[in-house]
Amino acid sequence: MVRQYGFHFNAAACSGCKACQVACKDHNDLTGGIIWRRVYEVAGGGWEKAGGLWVPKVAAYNVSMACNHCEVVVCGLACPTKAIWKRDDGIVLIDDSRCIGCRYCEWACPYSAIRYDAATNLVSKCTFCVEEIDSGRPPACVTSCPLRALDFGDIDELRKKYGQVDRVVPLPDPEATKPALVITPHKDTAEAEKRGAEVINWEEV
Amino acid sequence: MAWREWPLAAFTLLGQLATGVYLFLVLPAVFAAPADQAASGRNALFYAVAAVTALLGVGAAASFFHLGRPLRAPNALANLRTSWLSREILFELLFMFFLALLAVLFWRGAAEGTLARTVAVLAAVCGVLFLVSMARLYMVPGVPAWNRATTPVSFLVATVTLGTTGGLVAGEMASRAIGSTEIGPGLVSPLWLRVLTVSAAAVVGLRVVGRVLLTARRRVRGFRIPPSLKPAAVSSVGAFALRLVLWTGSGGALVAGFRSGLSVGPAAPETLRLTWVAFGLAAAAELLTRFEFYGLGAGPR
Amino acid sequence: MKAPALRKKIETSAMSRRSFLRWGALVGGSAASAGKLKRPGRGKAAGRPPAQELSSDVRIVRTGCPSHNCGGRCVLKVYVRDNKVVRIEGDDRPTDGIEDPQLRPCIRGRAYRRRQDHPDRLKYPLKRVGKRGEGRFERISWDEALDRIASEFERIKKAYGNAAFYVPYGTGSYNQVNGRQTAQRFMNLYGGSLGFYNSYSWACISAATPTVYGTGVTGNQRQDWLNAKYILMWSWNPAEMRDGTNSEYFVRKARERGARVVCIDPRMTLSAVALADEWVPIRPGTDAAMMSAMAYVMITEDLTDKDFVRTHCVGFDETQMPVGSSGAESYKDYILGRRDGVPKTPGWAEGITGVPGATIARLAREYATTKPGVLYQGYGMQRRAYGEQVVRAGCVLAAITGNVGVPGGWASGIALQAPDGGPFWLVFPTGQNPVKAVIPSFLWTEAVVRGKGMGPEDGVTGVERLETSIKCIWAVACNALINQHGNVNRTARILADEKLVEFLLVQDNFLTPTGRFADILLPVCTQFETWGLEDGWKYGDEVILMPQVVPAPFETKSDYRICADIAGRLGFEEAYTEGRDERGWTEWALDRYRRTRFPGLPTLAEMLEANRGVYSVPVTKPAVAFADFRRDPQKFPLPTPSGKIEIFSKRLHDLNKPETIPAVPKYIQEWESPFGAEAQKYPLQLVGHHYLSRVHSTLENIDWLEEAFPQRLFLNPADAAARKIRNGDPVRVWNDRGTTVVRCRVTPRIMPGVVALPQGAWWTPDAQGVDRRGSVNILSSERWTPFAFGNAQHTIMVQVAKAEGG
Repeated sequence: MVRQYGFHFNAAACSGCKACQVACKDHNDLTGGIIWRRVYEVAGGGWEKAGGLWVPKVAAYNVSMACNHCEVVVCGLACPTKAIWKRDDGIVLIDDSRCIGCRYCEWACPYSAIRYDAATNLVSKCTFCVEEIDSGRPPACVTSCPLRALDFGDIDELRKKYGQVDRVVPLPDPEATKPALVITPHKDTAEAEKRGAEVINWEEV
Repeated sequence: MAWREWPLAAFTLLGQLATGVYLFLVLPAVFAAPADQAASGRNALFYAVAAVTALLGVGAAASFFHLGRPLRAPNALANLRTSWLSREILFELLFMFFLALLAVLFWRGAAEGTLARTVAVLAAVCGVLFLVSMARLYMVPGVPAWNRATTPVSFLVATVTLGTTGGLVAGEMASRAIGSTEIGPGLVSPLWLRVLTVSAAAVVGLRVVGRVLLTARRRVRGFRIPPSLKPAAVSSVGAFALRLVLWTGSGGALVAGFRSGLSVGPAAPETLRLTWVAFGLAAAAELLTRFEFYGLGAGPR
Repeated sequence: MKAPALRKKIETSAMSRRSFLRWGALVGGSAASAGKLKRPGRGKAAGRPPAQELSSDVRIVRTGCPSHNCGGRCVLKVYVRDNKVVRIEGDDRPTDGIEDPQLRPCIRGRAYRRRQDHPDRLKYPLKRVGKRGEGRFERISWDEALDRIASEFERIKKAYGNAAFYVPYGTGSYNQVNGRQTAQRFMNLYGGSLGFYNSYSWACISAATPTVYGTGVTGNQRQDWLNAKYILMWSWNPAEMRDGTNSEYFVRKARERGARVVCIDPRMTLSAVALADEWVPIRPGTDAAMMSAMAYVMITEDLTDKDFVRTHCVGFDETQMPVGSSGAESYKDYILGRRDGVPKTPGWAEGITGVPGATIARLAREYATTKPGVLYQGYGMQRRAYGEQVVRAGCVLAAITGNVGVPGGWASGIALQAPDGGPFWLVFPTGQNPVKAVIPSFLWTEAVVRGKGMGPEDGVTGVERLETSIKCIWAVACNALINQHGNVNRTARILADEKLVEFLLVQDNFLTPTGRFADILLPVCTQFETWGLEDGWKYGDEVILMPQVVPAPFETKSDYRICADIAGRLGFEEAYTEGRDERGWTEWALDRYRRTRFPGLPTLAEMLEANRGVYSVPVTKPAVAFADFRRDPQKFPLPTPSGKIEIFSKRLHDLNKPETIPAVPKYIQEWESPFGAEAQKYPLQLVGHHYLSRVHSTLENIDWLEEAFPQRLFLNPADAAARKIRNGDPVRVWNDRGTTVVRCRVTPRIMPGVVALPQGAWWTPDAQGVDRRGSVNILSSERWTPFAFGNAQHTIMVQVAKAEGG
């Protein structure tokens, strides 16, 4: 029995191609601008002139982020209708029949995982592809990655395999929600943070 | 400026206005009223309480426009165990319940002073808990800009601002409702009106000074908000300047009103008008402040 | 507990479990299980309902991702219900090892439902009303369409002869039974048509590579990259433009095994972020200068593979000039500046390329000494003025470092896959073209405007002079007439003239900018709606069967069926079809493959039964190009005049055009560059890179793709600040050829002085003729390259400014 399902994201291998984003959209019929797995383009630094030449001091990487099915379910704790609940295997889900579309959970989530759908007037988010999980298959995003940069499983196993890192810039402090997430940082992570890395593709996420 | 959040701006501002007026005008009035009021007829207190209840009702109605599924609104009381939003709604409903009770009591004349006072205190407690919940619910990890002490502080200051300036206006309207041309009779003493006026001017002045100092401090020391995966808000210089102007104007109106005898005896129409100006300008500033507040929580496109 | 303590408390514990416990206890109920929100008592099933739960009425078909010209050939698992595609997944074969990895589709294959069911798909045959180019049509019947086409064909054939027909370069579909080859077969049976050679993708690299190696088969099977210790990705961005499915994954694996990877590109591309240890920005069009400087370092620091050069190459220095060319300038002469007085030092290259001389020198040393090494040449740097030079220069660097014919090395150039040139094994028989005249694919507008009399000076082959201009164009799966050709405004004027091209027939899935100029516009079904067969894209060892998944809607037909029907009107349908339909030809092609390359290939029936979609051959021992030549250059000479690697090409020398077609690779300043007078007015270099939101101009109208990769002009913060442009502002981009207005993205991932506008966006002119969609060819030129007669479509100088209103 899995204690807590989570994702591993290999930022060192991710190109930002967004196959994961669209695989998720197709699997879940997400139209109307709803994106459950977003890919953030992060860049820090700039260019300097040295001896008449422009020299880059740019660090960049990507962060693919869906829902982290956090152990401290701040969205669920905030939800006034108890529409958000957590399964025994850690997957956090939204019950459409209870949601009133107040969007409080959208505010609560520091990972911007929850999205309001103007077509249904409800909120929605990554479901970890529960119907796939329950049939013994992986989530749609994991198998879609052309660079094989995503993995999934019991977060304890993932941490044994990939390490303990669960935050890179610009992600929030993991202490707040304890996300079930392991990241393999890109080689430029420290450099990017030093140079004031920020998301540069807001309009796409 | 998150204009699309107008339902919540209306809800929170009206809620703070109503609670403030209740705490600064109605509650003192209840305790100032003689134990044996005239048994017949409505009195100013009734109108005051009715006004507060109506403000809450309008705010609550506005909040429905925020919901995706307004018909399911009753679901929102389900999570009192952990959700400050559920609690906020509960306390607001209780607040309105006790206010309605109070209104009924005053309509029929306050037969029993103790009963009225007890209900009034219960209502006050619920009102305060309502505002506490309101402030707490914004302090979520997903919006670090809200997740700071400035949120409850600014909500408190808003309540005081609206409660004092609004209290003056409410007092005047309630008195007029019973045919008086003054503020106060049947409600509060002239001393209390003076206190209200001075407090209002003080808090408004504090807003101006405080906002300027805070902004200067931010400019000098930089301002790091912890990250979340949401874009940073863009603040509007124009709105900032406008708010300073509005507060200054409000303060000026209060000072002028005070000096023209606002709090002493029959009030001249010009003086009464000044209370409206003071309230109107302060409320407008508060509105801008609130929309900027919601702008900090701007999420995805 | 005054202010500071209170603030700290609130700040650190605002929503923490502790505070919940406190308040929760107040309000009632233990919050100890705050993290364990139980399932609510009532309410429906969990979460947003899954798209479609698999039920018995859902059919699963494994097929190929519809073949456009995307750089990949991937496997799709398509779910069908009620004759509608309801879900698309990728290759789900159980193993994913290096020798036979899954063929995972990219964002475009995954979004394909949005194209398949797009409301704008053409449904019925259309006939033009109004003037050509207005894009106004009325619906007609297939009968009327076929009659009109047949009669126009006959008229033009009689008036001008078959050489007046042209089926242009178009790659919107190509998978044996879909695409322009179906029309070429028609034409060849009908008396022929003007032919073309080369392409918009690879004109320079496909012409220049054989001048060094005698062949274009210079690439190893990609698993060999895992043997490399050094990989120079020069103008190569496989993670974004996809250069064979899995290429970027192979590079990732090579890096994990210890290869050092360096990306040289004006943009910090998706590949640079994912794969590179170092990104070196370089001014577009100056790559040959950097390569020359690298050669300078290698020569002067004695880092070349002297033995290999001596035994396997000609023309490196005066000791090994080809017979009849002694005394001509050798490569070493050029690099050391012995004849032109300009030694190609890193310092010299720095001024041209914008790359610090020290970096150039370091990379030269690294590539020369970290063996074996791969210098992979991408296609952006050759799709430019004098693109032939940079191709030759890269091949020469690979040669003088001895990286040819060894595992882990790479001979560079176009690198078609060893041993037989790789996929694109087009077996569908087009037959012989009775018309012998052939033009370069990019010069078709010349052949329209002044075709009659065009000759070898314009790249014409097969005949001395063209006998006629082009009078009839039949565009199949082609948006390269208007949208993808250089200088859209000019092409639009040419095509609008009905006296030049008298009949323009277009068949496509959508009303594209090219379609707007059609006289007759025919609706084609998608590849899900007919049969097909695809193999790899450039690389790979697989065959993917593409059975018909859903019926063709409305009155759409396949490219093949349309050709057969027109043939029917003209009396040769039987000869055209040979009694086969699309499925029949697919089976025929499978048999061909079985006989020529894949002996183990199952039959069509077996493949359908197994529903695997793909038949692939694992690569356990990757083929290495020129391994035999390396081993024994006497016994296995190259198909060059000298039998060896031609660093100096006598053939080029004898053309006697040293300024533009030198015999050794040289850096030649482009005719539109930051160094010419034009830079006064147009100081920014513009590149039109390949973008993941489209395949060239296919998939332009897909919402999921546009939201992932919106059409933007990318520019550096320094260039933006100088123009008071902020991120997201609409900007105007212009030069003498046209103007476009498009939103911008300010990013540090591009070098100052360079802007990028993803190619393929549909030309969308407003009433003033200003394009509103960011169509890069409004700015590119129709000018071609001197040797390959190829498109120089990335050689563009522009100016950018903030747009008013927008």
